[in-house]
Amino acid sequence: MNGMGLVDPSPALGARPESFEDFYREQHESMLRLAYLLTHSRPVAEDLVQDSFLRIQPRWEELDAPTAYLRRTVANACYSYHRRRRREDALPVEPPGVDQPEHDEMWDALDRLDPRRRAVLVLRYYLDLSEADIAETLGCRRGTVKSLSHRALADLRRILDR
Amino acid sequence: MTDDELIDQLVQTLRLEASAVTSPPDAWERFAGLGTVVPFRPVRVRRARLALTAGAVGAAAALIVAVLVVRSAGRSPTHVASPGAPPASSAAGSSGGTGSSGGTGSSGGTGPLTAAAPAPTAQAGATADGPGPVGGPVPAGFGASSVTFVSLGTGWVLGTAPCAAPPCTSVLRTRDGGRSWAGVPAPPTDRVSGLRFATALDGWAYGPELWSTHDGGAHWSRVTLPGSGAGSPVVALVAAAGGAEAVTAWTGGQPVLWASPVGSDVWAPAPWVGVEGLAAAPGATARLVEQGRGGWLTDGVRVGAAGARLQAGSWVPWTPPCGARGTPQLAASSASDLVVVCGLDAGAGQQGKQVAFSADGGTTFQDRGTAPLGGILEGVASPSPSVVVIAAAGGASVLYGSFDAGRTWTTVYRDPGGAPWRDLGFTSPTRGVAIEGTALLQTLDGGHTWTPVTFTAGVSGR
Repeated sequence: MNGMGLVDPSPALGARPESFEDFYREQHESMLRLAYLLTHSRPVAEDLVQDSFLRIQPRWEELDAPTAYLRRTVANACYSYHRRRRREDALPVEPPGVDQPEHDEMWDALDRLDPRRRAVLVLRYYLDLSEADIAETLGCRRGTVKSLSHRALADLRRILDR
Repeated sequence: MTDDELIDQLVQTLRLEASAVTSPPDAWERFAGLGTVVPFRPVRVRRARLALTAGAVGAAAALIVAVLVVRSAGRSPTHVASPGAPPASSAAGSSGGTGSSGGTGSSGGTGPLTAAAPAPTAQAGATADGPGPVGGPVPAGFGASSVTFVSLGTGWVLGTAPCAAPPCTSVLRTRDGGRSWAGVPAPPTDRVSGLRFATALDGWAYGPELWSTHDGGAHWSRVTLPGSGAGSPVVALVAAAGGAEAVTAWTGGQPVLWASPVGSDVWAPAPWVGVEGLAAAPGATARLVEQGRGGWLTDGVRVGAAGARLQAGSWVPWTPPCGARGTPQLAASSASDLVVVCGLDAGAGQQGKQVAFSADGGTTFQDRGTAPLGGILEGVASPSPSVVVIAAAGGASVLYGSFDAGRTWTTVYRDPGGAPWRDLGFTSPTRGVAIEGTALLQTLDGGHTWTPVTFTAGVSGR
C-alpha cells in the first residue's frame, strides 16, 4: 500500500499542523485531559474544550504558538466555569453517577482546592510546565505562581491530614 | 508525609485520572458538524388560535392540535463515562396559528435567496468548510423565525428578508458558532416557519408545508406525508441523527405523528396508540416531548387535561403534574430528568408558573414553588437537571433562570419590547439560543447572560 500507517504521528518540534483539523486531532485529547483535571467532570471538559477550539479557529493561522494559546484558552474556560459554578450554589454538575469510577482521596482533595491553586498544581505536576509557562497560561506573574503553588500544597496536606 | 511523598502521590493521581480520558473517535466530526453530533432540537409551540375560524367549523371540525416536540437524545454511544449532564434540548413558545405561513409576511423584495453556485459538495473529508452549498451574502433586513444547530459550530436560521417577488424566505448558515453567517438556498415557499437539521446534510423546513434537503441545503424538495393530504399542516418537527419525526395538525382519526429515517424522506405513521383522551379536547394545544425511549404528551390549553407517556414503545395514559392548577410546558435534560412548568391563571401580562421536577421520567414529581409572575409562559429549556430557563412575554420579553433546580430565580434577560419567544434551547451545558420576535439571542455561559446575535458575514462565514 502507500505506507500511510508509517507516518510519524508526532510532528517535529515547532512544526505547525497543516490544517485546523490536524491541529484539532493532535491537540484534542491532551486538552480534554487538562480540562478534566481542572474541572473533574468529563462532560464539562468536553464542552469547554470544544468551545475553546471554536474560539481559536478563526485566527489560529495567525498565532505564533497555537498550542500555548489553546492551553491558555482552555485554562481560562475552566476557571470561568468554576466562577459560574460558585454562583450556582455549588450544586454538583453530575448527579451521583451510576458509572462513577472510584477516585482516591487525593482526587477528592484536589476538587476542594481553590481553582487557581489547583490549576497551578495540574500545570506544574501533570504538564511539567515551567514557572514562566504557568504564569503565561494563567495570566499572572511568576511570583504569583510560586505562592499559589506553595499554598496549594499546604492546602492539600491540610485536607489529607484531616 | 514529606513534600516529596505528597507530590509523588499527586503526580500519580493526576496521571491515573488523565489516562482514563480519551478523545471520542468522532470528536472532530462532531466539532465540524458532521454525522453524529450533539443534537439540538429546540421546539416550537404553536397555539391553535386559528383553529376556530368560522369557515372551518363543523361538528366534526378538525382538531387542530398544536404540538410541542422536545427530543434530546443521550450522548452518542462512543461517548463513554458521561453519566450526567447530557446536552439537553428544550422548548419554546411561539404565537401564531397553525395555518399561518410563519413569519410576519414580507413586503417588497427580490425573490428567494439563492446562494451563488449551490454546489452540492458533500465532501467526504471534513474540511473546515464542511459539506453543503457555498455561502452567499447575508440578505439585508433578515428577520429570524427559527434556529437549529447540529453541533456547537454549525447551525442554520430560517427567516425572511425584504424582497421584490415573494416568497422571501431566507436561510442563513454559520460554521463558527454564530460569529459569522452566510446566505444559503432556501425552500422556494413562504409557507414554512420552522427549521430543523439532523446532520450537516439532512434538514427540514416546515409549518405548514414540509420541505427537505439532503445535501446540506443546496437543494430543497417538497414532501407530502402519505394520506395526510394538503389539509394537514405540519405543526412541529424534530430531527436527530437517529431519525426525524413530524406532527401534523390533528384531523379526526388521522395519525398525527410521523417518522422517517434521516437520510431520506420515507415517512410513515409512528407507533401511536391510546391518546383518545387528548383527541377529544377541542381546540387543544398539545405538547409532545420525546427523549430516547421516553416521551410525554400533554394538552397545553385545557386546565387539568389528560396526557400520555411513551413507555416501552407505546403511548399510555399519563397525568401531568399540573392537575387542575394549570397547563403544562415540559423540558427534559435526560431520559429521566423532566421539568414541568404549569402555567396558572393568566392575565394582564402575568401568569403564575408552578415548577415541578421529576427524576424518574414523570412518575413522581417534586414541587419546587413558583417562577416569577411577570409574563405569559412561552417556553422552557433545561440543559441539566439543576438549570432551568423559562421564556415569558407580556409587557416585556423576559427570560428567567434558575441554577439551583428551581429554588431561586433571577431575570437573566429582559427586553421591554414584549415580542414572543420561540426555539429556546441549549446545544450544550453552556451554549443556548432563543428567538425573540425576529432576533436571535445566544448564551455562552449556560443561560446566565443572553445577547443578540448580529448576522454579520465574515471570512469564515462560508
